[in-house]
Amino acid sequence: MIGAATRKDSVYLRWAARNWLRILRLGVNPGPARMLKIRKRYPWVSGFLKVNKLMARLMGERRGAYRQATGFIINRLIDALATIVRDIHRRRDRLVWHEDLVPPEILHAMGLMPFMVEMLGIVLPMVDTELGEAYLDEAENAGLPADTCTLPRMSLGLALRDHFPPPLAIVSSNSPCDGGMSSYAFMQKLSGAPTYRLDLPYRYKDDSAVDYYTNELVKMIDFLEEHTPGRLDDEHLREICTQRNRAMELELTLWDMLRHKPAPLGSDVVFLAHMLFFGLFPGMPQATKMYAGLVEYARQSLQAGGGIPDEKYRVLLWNPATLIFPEIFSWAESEFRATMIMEMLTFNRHPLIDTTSRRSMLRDLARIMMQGPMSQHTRGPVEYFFDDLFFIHEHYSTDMIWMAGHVGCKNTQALLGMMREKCRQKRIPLLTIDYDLGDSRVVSVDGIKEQVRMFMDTVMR
Amino acid sequence: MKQIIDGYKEALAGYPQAEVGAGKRIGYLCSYVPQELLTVPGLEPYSMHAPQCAGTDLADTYMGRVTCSYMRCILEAFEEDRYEYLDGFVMTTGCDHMRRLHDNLAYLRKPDFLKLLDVPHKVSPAAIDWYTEELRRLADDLAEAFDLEITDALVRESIGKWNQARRLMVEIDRLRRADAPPLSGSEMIALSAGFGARPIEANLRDLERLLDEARRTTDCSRAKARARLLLVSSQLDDIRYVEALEAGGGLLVGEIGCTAASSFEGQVDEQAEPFRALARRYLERLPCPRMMEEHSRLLERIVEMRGERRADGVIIVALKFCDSWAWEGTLLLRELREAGVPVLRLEREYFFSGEGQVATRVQAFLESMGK
Repeated sequence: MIGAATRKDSVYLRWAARNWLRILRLGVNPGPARMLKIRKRYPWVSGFLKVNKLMARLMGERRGAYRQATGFIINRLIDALATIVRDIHRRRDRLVWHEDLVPPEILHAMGLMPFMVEMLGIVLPMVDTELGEAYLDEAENAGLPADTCTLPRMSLGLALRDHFPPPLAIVSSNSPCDGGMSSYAFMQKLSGAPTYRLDLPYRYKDDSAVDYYTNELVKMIDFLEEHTPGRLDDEHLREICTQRNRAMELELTLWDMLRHKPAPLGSDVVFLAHMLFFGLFPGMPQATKMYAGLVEYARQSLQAGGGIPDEKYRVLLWNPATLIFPEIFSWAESEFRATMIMEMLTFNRHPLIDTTSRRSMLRDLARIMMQGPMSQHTRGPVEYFFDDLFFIHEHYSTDMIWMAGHVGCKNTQALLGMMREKCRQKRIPLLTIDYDLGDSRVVSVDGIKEQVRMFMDTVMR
Repeated sequence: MKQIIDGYKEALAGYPQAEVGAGKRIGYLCSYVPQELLTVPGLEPYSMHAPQCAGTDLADTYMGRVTCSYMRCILEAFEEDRYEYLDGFVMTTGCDHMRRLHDNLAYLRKPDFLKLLDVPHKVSPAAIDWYTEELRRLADDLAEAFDLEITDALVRESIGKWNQARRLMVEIDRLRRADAPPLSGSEMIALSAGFGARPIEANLRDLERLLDEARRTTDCSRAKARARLLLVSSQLDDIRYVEALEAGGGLLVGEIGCTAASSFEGQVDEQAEPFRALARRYLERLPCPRMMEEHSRLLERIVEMRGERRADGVIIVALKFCDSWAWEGTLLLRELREAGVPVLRLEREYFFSGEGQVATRVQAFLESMGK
């Protein structure tokens, strides 16, 4: 549909070939026989083979460095996914499930293999919506109401079908919402693994809250040392935090470049980069390298006059991005000359990590998780939610806000009235998109497009 | 006994009136709010509910339609000025919906006294320390806002009264182990849910009398009930709904939930430092699914109570759109069924509807058990 409209030009073909090469390398390590077994045991692996289709959808009509950057980030995505596929067998004796708001830096520093439970709930709707929906049905058949958030619901479907690699232990938290938190009692039951849960206080900008949460991390480390072969190595943690700081500095540079009109890149590139290298592999040398690459592409794009040279609108996307319709970014560019500048899950204002001591590193990691997206917006006081929203709007000079009104997110659904009025007071055009994060049967891609077109035709005309 | 129970039903069926009570009345939401702190001289707690809520048009504008209808009904009642005889409000971070009710309330109504207690999601020494501090801050804020003195001695005195109330409630509830229980489920829920809408002294007086009478009462017709049932539910303060559950000949012989007698289990240590003792009791009480490490304890209590009360089956009732109960209910359903326990799971809206469907579902459940 959208992919069909994409030019299969040399940029696309080059990145597609690289992606296939990366996939084929799995035939060498872990090897063809092992790989077939993995594919049989974890059918979702097949979904990753569709990554070039995703790339085509995201590339859309993009040109020049912006098109290159899109290929680059998809290549990094498939590399990350391939690494995970390789390691779920190779490092199975060190595999720990973690919830998406538990700092993986610590797990990496302990020599463990972090497996983010929610990762597939994010990636599958993007690359293979139907496969994702089969897992949703599995969870509903077990009795989970259809109004719950599709992210943890998909994870439950995967766990019920035994499609997750078995963990030695689980670490989760009370973030980002009741649904995400509650899902881990089920995960614990199905996996039989010992579980530690981090408790995030409500007013987490207070010093006492940071202390409380830091102590929670200390206890998590004790728990992991008791239940896994992992041991926290301070030097390793320092290396990771230092690398993370470098990547963060580069990301800040990239964000600054996004302030230019027209912007050098659109938000899916920035979003996927953040998800991969701050969510899954933070503090890895490849994260720093990837951000250096993105900054370079952004620089080239700016020199060429911007990603969308005739950019007409700048959009701030709020709430988790439309996973069933990830090409909303490139679609909006070609349909309305609208660039998505920033979105909620990426923008993470926090200080660099103080690497002086174990305590200082843990304290800053605690702060990063507490003040990061989702925790910041859905677990804390409402001021944190709106402060960030309007700061980003002003900082990036956006023309409008698109609120991705994921029907399963009760937390933000209950703020829509307030949001509407606040935006009206500030004279910011607001579009609330009714949709479900991971289920295209609730509102189809065409349904989303229709809502956007109506808004652009009536409000923004 | 009927007269006393009717008093509780009346309290549940109405909103706070001007003439009731001696002190400043503080409306509270959530069973994790220690009523003891709101029962010191000069204050009186009022457990907020929204009787006769028929629709939530105003609240929906702000909170949407896919959020908890209990919270929406409360916001609707605020918008209809139903709580004008309450002087302040205390809520908790009990769930996402309650936090957002608090946010909308602060935005729309700006009450003079509105406090959100940060209740930890787990039980640990650090969590008890945290909650102890939260409770101290609440006491300080109340004292300052209402020009009161809240001393340890006054809190201790209040704890004594509430412990006594809890003892009475638990004792009344235990009488339902009998073959012919003196109280039905709807009567017991009237007591436990209506308790917070009445002054503590009236509760103590009436529960003493009721216990005395209940000990001497045997309702033989109840011994012939088609089935004995255990109810596990989230907020449930609508007696009509409980009556609908029992309409098909099943008899509720025990309930677990935040408006059930089970929420009265567990005393506050009267010898310990009062704020810490309160924090400990409230965090360690029979948990709401919002506590993230307590699932096993809830399951164990359900199994234990089912045995004590000789219940044939379990009915789980949750408010629609409640994520905590959606997950908990699904897991309980699976585990209880694995254990061979007949389970019926229902979802409801806070406003009363579908009486016929509820009765039919329960009837079918009884039939499925061969009753």
